[in-house]
Amino acid sequence: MTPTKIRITVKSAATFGRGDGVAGFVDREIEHDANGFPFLRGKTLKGLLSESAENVVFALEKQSNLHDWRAAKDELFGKPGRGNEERGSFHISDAILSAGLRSALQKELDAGTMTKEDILYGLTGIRRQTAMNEYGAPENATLRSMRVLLPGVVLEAELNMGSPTEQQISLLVAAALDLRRAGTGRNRGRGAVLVELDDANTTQRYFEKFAKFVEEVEA
Amino acid sequence: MAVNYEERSAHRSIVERILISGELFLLSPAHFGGAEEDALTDMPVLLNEVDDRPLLPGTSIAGALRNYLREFEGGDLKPAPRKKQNRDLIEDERKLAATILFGGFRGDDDGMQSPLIVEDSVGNLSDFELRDGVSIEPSTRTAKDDQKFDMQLLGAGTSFPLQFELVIREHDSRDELLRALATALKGFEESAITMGARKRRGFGTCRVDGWKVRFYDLKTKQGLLDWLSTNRAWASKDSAKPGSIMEVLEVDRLLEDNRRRATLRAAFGIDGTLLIRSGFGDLDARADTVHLHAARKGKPGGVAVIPGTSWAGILRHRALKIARTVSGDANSQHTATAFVDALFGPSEIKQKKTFDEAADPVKASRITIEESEIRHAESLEVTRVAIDRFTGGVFEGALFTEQPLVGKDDSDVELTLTLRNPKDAELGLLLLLLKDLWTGDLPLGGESGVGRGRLKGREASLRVGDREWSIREKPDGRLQISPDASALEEFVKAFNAEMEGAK
Repeated sequence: MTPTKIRITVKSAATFGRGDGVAGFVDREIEHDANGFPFLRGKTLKGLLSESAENVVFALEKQSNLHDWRAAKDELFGKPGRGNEERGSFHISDAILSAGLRSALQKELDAGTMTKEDILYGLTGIRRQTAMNEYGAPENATLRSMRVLLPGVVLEAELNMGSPTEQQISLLVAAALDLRRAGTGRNRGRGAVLVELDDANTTQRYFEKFAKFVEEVEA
Repeated sequence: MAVNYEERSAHRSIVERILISGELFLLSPAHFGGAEEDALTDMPVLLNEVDDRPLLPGTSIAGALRNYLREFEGGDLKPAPRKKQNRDLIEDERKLAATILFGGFRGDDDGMQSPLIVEDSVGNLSDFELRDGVSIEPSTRTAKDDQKFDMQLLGAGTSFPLQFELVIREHDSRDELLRALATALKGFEESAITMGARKRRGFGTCRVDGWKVRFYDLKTKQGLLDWLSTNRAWASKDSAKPGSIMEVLEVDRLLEDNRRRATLRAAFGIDGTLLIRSGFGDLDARADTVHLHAARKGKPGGVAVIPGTSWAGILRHRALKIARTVSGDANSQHTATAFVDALFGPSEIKQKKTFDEAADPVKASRITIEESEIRHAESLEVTRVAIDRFTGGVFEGALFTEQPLVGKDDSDVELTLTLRNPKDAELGLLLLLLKDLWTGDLPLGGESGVGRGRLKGREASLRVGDREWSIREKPDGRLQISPDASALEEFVKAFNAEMEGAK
C-alpha cells in the first residue's frame, strides 16, 4: 500500500520560522495558524525531503547500480525551475498537529477554557542567545529571542504520490531517513527530527525494500 | 585548505558522514543561562522545557569550540574582521581552520555553511547550587548598595552527552577537517575549554572523555544503509570503541598552538581563619554564616572552596591600589586604571554615547582564575557578640555564630591564574600581587578586620611560554627563586617604568 502520511517527531527544540517577530517579546516567531496550532509548511517540507533525496541519489550514483535513481527522483520531485509538464508526482500538505490533538484543543477553544495563546505557549518555549566577540565579551546588539517548538511534538503531513513505483517509494523512505534536521539553527542543535512514512513499521518495511534495490548491482 | 568562495554548487555533494559522541562532566559549577529571571533567583539556569533537565545548547558548545580553535590557531585576542571593506582581514579569517570547520563568521555575507553539526545536549543533573555575588566598594571594603545578586549553578559532576556530526563533501580536504576537529575537541579532553557564564572566574570547567566515532562512507552501499538506519530501532548495535579524540578520529597530529600565555600557580597555607560567606545551604541548622562549600559528586556536604570571583575581586582591587600608588599624581591615575582594566576587564560595561564597536570593542578579562578547593582545613563554630560601647555590656540582639575555616599545618589552597598575551609590565604586577598574598598582607574573604583571610605562601611557579620559574620558601624564611630572580625583577621594573612613565 502506498504511504499516505509523513510523520515528524520533533526531537530537540525547533524553530520553523515565519520570518517575523512580536515587537519587544520575540524576535523570531514560529509558524502557527489562527488557533495557535504550530505547523511546518508543506513547501518547506518538500524542499527538505527533496534535498535529502538528492543526498541519497548523489551517494547512489557513486556506486555501480542498475537502477536510475536520478530519474526516480525527478519523477517524484520534478526538476527545479521547469514547467508543468515536468513537475513531480509528489504532493504534500503542511505538517500539522495530529487530528486527535487538534480536535481536543479545538473543543477547549470553542468552550473558551483555552485561548489561542494558551495553546501556543503550551507547545512552545522561548530561547535567548547572544553572540560573544573575540575578546570574550558579549557583542553589542546581538541578544535574540526565538520561539521554539518543544521536543516531543508530533506533526503530520498528508502525502499524495499519485501511483508511485516501488523504487520511488523506497527513494522517498531513504530521503525521510536521511532528513534529520529542519528549521532555523539546524546545524546547531535546533530542529532535530525523526521522520517516518506512516509509522515506524511501514518505514522499516520500505527501508528493507530500498536496501534490496541498492543491493541489486550490475553484473 | 582552500575553500572556493566563487563556485557554489546547488548541492552539497556529501560523500561521508562522521558521528562523534562523548560525555562532558562538569568539574566546577557552571551557569548556562538564557532563562528569564524568576522569583527565586536572579539568574536561573536554562532547563529543558519538557523535563526540567539542564540544557546545554548546541550554539553554546559550538561557540566555545570555535573560539578555542580560533585562539589556538591564530593566537589569543586576534581581531576579527568587522567591516566589509577590510578585504585582507576577511581573506585571513576565511583561511582559518575555525572558519572552515564552523562556517562563515559574523558579518561575512558570503560565508559557507558549517560542515560540523552540533546537537543540543540535555544533561543529567548532579545537584543545583546557589551562589551569592556582590560587588565590593574599594574604599570601604564593604558591599556596594544594590549590587548583590544570586546565581543558580549546575553542580560539579553534572554530565552532558555530546553529539557531533561532521559532513565531508566531495571536494573537502578530509584530513584537514578532521585535524581541525580533533584540535578543537582535544580542548575538551584536556579541560582547556570552559563554558557558560563567568568562565574566566572558575565556573564551567569541564572534561570530556569516552569519545566514540562512527564513520559512514556514503560511497559504499553498506555505509549508506548504515547511515540511513542510525537511531532507528532496527539499526545495528553501536560497536564503536571509546578512546582519546586523536585515536578515534585517526588523526596523527594537531594544529600548531600559537597561543601565548602565562600561568601562575601558587600554593598557600591558611594563617588563622578564613570566611567566605555562603548565602545558602542548611543555615537554619547551623551557624548564622558558614564558609562557602561547593557541591562535588561523591562528597556529601561539598568541599570548601575559594571562588574565582573572590580571588579576582581582591586581586583587582589590590592591583589598582598598587598601580595608583606607583603612578603617583592624580593626573596619571587614569593610566593606572586603564592598565588594570586591560588586565581584568572593565569593572562596568557602559553604553557609550557614540558607540563604535569596531574601534573600541568591549573586552572580557584576560586573566582566568580557577575555583580553588581548600584541603585539610577544619570548620569551627565560633560565637561572637557585639559590645555596647557606652555600658561595656553585651549589645542586645547582637549575638551571632559563624563557622569559618581554621587552617592547620597541612591546610592547603592553590591559586591557578592564566594570563592571555602577557606583557612584561603585567607580569610584574602579578608578581607584586603574589607577594602581597604570600606575606598575608592581602586578606581574602570576609571579616578581614578581625584578622581572617590571611594566607601564607609555600611555593609558586610562573610559566611564561617556554620559561618557568619556581619560588619556594627556605627553612630560614628567605625565598629561593630558580633558575634566577633577576628576570622576575625585570618584570617588576617594567611595571614600575610603565606606571612612572605615566607621570
